[in-house]
Amino acid sequence: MSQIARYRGFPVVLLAAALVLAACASGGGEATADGERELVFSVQTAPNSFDPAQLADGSQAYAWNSIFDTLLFRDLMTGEIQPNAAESWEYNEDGTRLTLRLRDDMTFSDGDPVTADAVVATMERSRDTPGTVQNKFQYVTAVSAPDDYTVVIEFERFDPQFISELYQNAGVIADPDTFGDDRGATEPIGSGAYTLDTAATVPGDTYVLRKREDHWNADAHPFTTVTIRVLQDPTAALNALQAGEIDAASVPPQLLPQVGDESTYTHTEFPAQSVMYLDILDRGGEDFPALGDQRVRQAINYAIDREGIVTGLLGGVGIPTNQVFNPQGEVYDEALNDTYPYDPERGRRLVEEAGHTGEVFQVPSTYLSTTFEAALSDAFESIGLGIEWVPVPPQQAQSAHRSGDYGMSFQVTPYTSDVADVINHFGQGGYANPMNHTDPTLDELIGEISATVDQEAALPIFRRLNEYVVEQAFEVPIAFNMTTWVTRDGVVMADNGSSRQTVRQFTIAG
Amino acid sequence: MSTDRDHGSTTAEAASTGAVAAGHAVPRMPMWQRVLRDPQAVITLGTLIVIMLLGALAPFITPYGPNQTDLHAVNAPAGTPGYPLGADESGRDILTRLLHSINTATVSALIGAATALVVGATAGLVGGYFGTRTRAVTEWMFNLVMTFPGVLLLIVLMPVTGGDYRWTMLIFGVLLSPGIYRIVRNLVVGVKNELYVDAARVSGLTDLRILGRHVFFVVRGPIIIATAFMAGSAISVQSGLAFLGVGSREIPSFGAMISSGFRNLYIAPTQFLWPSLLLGLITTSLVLLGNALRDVVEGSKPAPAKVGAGQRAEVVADAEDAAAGTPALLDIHDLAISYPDPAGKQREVVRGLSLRIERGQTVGLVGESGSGKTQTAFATLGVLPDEAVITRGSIRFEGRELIGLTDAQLRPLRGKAIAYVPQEPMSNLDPSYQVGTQLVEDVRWALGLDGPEAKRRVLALLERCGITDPERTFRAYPHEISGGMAQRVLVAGAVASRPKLLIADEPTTALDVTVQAEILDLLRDLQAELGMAILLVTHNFGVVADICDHVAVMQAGRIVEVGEVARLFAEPRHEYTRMLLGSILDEKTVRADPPLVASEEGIRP
Amino acid sequence: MLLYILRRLGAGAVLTVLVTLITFLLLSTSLDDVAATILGQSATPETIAALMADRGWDRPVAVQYAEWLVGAVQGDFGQSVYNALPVGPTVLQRLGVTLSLIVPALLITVLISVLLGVWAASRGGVADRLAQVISLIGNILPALLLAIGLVVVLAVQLSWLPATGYTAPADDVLAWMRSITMPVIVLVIGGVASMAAQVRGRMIDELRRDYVRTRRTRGASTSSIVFKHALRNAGSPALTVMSLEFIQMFGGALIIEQVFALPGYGSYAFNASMQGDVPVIMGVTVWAVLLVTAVNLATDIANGLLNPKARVH
Repeated sequence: MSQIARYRGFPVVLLAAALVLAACASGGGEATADGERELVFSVQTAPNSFDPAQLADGSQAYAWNSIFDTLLFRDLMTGEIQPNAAESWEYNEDGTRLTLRLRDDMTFSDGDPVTADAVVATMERSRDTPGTVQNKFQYVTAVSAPDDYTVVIEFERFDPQFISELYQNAGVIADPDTFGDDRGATEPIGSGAYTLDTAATVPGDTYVLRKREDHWNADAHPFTTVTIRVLQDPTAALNALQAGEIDAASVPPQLLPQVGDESTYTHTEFPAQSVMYLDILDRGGEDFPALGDQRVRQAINYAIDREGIVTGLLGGVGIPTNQVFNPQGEVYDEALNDTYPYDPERGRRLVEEAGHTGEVFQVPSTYLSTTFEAALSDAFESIGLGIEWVPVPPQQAQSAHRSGDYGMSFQVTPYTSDVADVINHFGQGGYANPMNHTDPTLDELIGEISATVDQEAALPIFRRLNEYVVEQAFEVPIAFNMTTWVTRDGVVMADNGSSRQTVRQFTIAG
Repeated sequence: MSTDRDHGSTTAEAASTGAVAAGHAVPRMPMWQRVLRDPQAVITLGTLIVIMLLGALAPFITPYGPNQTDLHAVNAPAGTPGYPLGADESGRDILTRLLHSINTATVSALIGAATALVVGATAGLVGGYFGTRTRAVTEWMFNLVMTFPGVLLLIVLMPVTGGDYRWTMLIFGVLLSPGIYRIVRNLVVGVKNELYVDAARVSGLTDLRILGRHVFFVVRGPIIIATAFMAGSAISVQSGLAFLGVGSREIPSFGAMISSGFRNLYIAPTQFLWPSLLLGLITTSLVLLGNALRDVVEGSKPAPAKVGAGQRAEVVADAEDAAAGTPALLDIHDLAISYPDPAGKQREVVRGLSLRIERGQTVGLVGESGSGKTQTAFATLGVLPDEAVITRGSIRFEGRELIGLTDAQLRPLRGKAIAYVPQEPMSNLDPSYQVGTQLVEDVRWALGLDGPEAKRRVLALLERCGITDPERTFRAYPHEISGGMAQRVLVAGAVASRPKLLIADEPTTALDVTVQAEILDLLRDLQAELGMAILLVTHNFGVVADICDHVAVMQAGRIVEVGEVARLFAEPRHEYTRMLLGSILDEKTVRADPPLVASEEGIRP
Repeated sequence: MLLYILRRLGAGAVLTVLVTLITFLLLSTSLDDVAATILGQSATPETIAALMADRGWDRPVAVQYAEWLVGAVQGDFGQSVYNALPVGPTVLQRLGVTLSLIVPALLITVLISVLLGVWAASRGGVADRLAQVISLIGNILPALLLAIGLVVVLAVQLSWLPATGYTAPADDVLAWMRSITMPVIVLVIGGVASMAAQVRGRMIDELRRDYVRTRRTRGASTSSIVFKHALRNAGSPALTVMSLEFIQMFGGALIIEQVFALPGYGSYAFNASMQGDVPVIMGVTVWAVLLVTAVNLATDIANGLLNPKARVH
């Protein structure tokens, strides 16, 4: 029987090995004596290329935002546009020329000074290179540098969105020396507060950023090292947070109760990071006549139990809404949220009136829609319509949305700026309006917005537009998604829900 | 070189040979009847049927649809009214989804297994039946299929399949088909040259009908086994892909449920548990069912017994009761050995056998196959199979009781005082070691010699046993030497220690006629030289006449007549002896029983 | 022998070309989707067409494949269409992670399986039933549940081991061991469940062979019979089982990599497939086929060493 003991001993041996290994446990980012301070946080998607013409927004921005300076910056607390690499900016009267004045104390990480020529070169390249940034320059006719620190951008017509692009990927300044070289995409050279430590970085898994102490804005970046870890699985991210391997992570609502001890962890809620809505693609009813009928679109809005979805499916971490504009922006109108109370009976009557009862719509089923499909199917059934979810692999999600094969698609869209949101949701060529639907009222309102260079003056037009599109029910807004960041070890969020992804969101408590 | 990568197919190939053999040996009881007699098959099959029925009856069991949500029931705990197992993160009834997931699993298994069967069997029939060129093509294609990383392919092909799990399972079925292909191809190749196919061909049946009629009958057993395993793989893969989020989320499946439960693990751990348990139950049942089916078709694999425990005996051996005077070299008294029959009842194959061998005697033990000769020899050596039980009697060697001794207790006798020469020389040498290595092991034990001296001794023995190039034979592996040479090697190993008793079990049966005579000559010479006694088990009176001085005739587990050879040949007293002697002439040329079944002799009902 | 290896490798190369050709043909149908995914919200028919032209995806498939093949033969597998990283070095790096996980797992699996299987087959009775129960439990126990349980207890509660992440052995051997301990445990438990049963079955067969009986009559000791003879002969089929287990672990590592957030081959392949990152999928496929070919070849050669009949001359 001694043999039994021997073989049974195996798990014990493994456990013992684990114990030995455990003796040398290490923690996440902690302060060291000489003022070194490390930040480790997790994101779900790995940054793509660092080629300035291929930068993507969203959580990918954490990395490139640190490596490149953007011309402008959006304040994380107030949402105001602030100077950054550009000290000042000015439009001419009709908004066809933008003049930017650059700081004169910026250098690239290879030591070269940053001049207006670098900005011009980056912008011209992005405009001429097919990629993620290209169409942001669609109205730009010329970019020039009258002197070392002045950049002049000429437009074919006023582009109300453009100024907000300058704190995003269209506003980066890259070193023109890297342009002819493939390595620029993987070993970027920028003028940002951090450089990418390519030796310590494991692409797709861990990105290590080292602070440039000589950066003009070094004081705004308290962390000497920032490590971005790609943890696709939220449970894995939570485990890493609890094990002290990371200092901060965005935790989905289902997992929040599990985070534990309030004294160890700081929870920061960002009320509205994105809007979740059922996008009506065929607003003119070209291929799906039912959707061209305002009554049907309104009926769908009545069918959605937004409160139920927020409490049931978002774990209460969300805000029901009837409109798509950012609740922290200027356009958002609280009163509009009573437009479509949950009233399937009324919806059913509207559908009957319109004579479309019994119609079934195909909608792409993507990783975004998974959780909500069942609830939406029920909602459609409750007003006498139906949904058939068609599985679409992630790499086809974008083309399915644009294909014209579907009358509707489920979307979650992050905020950029109110202007951009208008164009995105209702403008021709806007992402949410791929069939380029418009009508005289929209034409008029968007035309006015596009012609008004002074944002303050345009505000009433924005509000009228919001009212109009809610009444027309061009989209079926469901809820604003809240995000909860959980931080520990003295790391706190310095952000009021600005929807910007930058390491400046993180700071040290006190 | 074996390039067989697929364990499904190797086991099934083993099963097939078993099936062919069993087809001749076991009286034809329909397979389904045999399945119904196997408790493991019945329980697992029953479990699967109950689960499938539950799935099929889902609409009648629960009031909900699989994707019907109730936002107020989100994450409802088990036991909530209307939600016996609770509801998931979208407020869908977990019980309902479990039941519908069963249907998804069933469909996956059916599509996956059916595709593999159709593709694999068709290609196997074609590749096995037609010429080598066709086979080379099919072989190449299936090697291609096998090398492709399966799950990767399924994920890559998602744009093609549109994420529909049924298409995915169709492709997976193709990936599984090499296993079936190999089973069918091997069986067809084996069966093709058998007489009845040739006969059928002569009688004018078309190729296709030949394949259909004869081959399918032979392959169905192994294929049914493989199907159970393939169904299990298909369900596992479908669940795995659904867990990863490949495919439609609308389709309820265990993988999707596990994934959803995993997201909610901390809120409602049981959500993760139910689908995991049911999935585990289904796949485990399929694996156990496959094993049970294999046992039914192939004959069940015996339970292992402790190696070295010695043979089983129900006799209380009274070691004290030594016979008066000088004991015989070997004294077997009233020996009875029984085996369980397929129904589990003990059946005696040796029934009260008594036999004495004096020092230096050569005794022939003669009888038809199945009469218990080999079992008697094994019992004396202490190497009866685990199923056999000695129910009474005693075996004494130089007065010492051997029954009830363990291997360790027998070791001082084995290879020293008692030696053994088996019937089938090739299978009795370890194929993995050089002949010399094995003999050195014998010599070291028997004579206590060390390395170089043992080797010298082995070479001398080989030479003595008539091997012309001992050095070469020493280095050869068993498969590199002829049967006659192998038998000389075995004789050499047996006589290394100058044993007092050599038990030779049909030592010449498996050999060519000319070699037979040489081996008998060798045994006779050695006997004269070493003065050992020989118990020669044989069915052949010619051999007895050639070498023995005494003979015992066995019939149905008993000795019917003993005597000196000359006397017995001259005036056989028992009718059975007379009958055997009368058939000598026929037997010399045609042997009735196949030589390979020596180890099973007497087991068959 | 050398000729044999060369012939096998040649067959592997032809196979690789065929497999990649099929893969490429299948993938080429969805290049416009890839372009749309890269462009994200800025995708319009015009920008997609421009990007396709820029990347050369609008050329005939045959030309694109030939170009890829010429590059691949020279060791240049192109670069990811998303993050522009060269595929060749990244695949190798990811392969290294997964192999540094699987190889120890396989070795431990083999060790435990052999001991357990031999023990069950040579002792029978209670030992045998115990081994079968262990196999059954390993089969039923969901790997995911086990993984999560280990993380919660060993990493989160006790802080003995890292919950996520990977350290290369070249950087820090101890940290590497710590990072692979839990994934290896999960892989080993699943592996032992299937492999121990196989070893047991082979050993039972082997122990009933004629030569074992003959060796017993020659006075061979129990340990010689079990370990020197039966195990050696069971080793050859067990080796085949081992190579299958290796390939299975290689494919099954994906889920483990996701749970423990390890930057391995599985998650690399999975992400590339989900995004339609054609050069990465091609690179991943090539190396998977090469690896499987190499493992099979190594198995056959090792088989030859164990089993004289299968020896190549």
